[in-house]
Amino acid sequence: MRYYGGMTTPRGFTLIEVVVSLFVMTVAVTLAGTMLHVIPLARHSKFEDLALKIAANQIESARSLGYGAAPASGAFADTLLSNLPSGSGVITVTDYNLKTKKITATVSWQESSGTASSSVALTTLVTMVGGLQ
Amino acid sequence: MSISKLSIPRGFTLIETIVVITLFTIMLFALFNFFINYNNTYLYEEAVVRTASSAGALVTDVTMYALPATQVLASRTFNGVTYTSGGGVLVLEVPAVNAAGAVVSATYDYVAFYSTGTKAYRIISANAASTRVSGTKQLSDSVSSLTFVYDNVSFPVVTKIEIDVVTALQVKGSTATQHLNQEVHLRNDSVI
Repeated sequence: MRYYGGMTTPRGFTLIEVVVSLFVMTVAVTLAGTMLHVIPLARHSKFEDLALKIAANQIESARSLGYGAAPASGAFADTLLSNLPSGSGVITVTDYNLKTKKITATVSWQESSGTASSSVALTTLVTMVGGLQ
Repeated sequence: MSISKLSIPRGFTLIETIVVITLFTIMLFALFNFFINYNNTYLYEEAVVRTASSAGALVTDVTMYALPATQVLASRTFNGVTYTSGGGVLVLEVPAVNAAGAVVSATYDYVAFYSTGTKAYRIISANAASTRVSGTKQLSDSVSSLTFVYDNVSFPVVTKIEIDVVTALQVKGSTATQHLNQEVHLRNDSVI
């Protein structure tokens, strides 16, 4: 509050003062909000990268077995799954057509309790003739 | 603030000053703490992203050269330095590729992956007919271990390479790490 010329009438804030302080406060709150959002985002991208690599590894090893020895559908083990919070992996093998099998590796994890779980999946086709043996 | 009827502006009372100073101190302390905490968390998260991305980039790069490789070489000399394949070094023979993207027959580029201290490098010795560029490239600066495991002790008949990489960065007492393990099957192996 300010007093002018010895007069005793207290004046309020001027419009410009209000606008400037509101602006400063908005900027501060927005910045703080953004800062707090970056943290889970960084964590998520790390886990997603790891999950993709686990799935890629599983696909690569399934492909190397070939059509005849394709793995059975079900959960798969990978030591790196323990680096994901509640990480688990499932491999699904289905007949795509008479000479082709479709293999999907899905890796799921849950970043914190109460949030929905995240997952990534990679798919490949393995043919009866040719391909990686 | 109270104003006397005599229109003489008065200063603050003691109690007002104490209250204001107390509030101000609490606020400053809270803000200071918030920023210090935030800064630590930020540095840690930055390290998390750096370790994760450099481990990923390293695995991707090795995979990129291992897929078209014709064989793993026991050793090869690059600019006078000999690299010998083993647990920490991988030397590959990769078919040369011309500007049109076609493979140049019976012509090869040589690629080696190795780590020194916390840094991992890829060195290429390209054939004159190849579009690949000879030279050394740093792939990661936070490697704590880089291991290659082969499915055969005899390098020319290796068809599967397992890449195991751990990256780690220390930030104010806490460590950010990423561990990746990826197997690659040589698609172009002359032995098959």
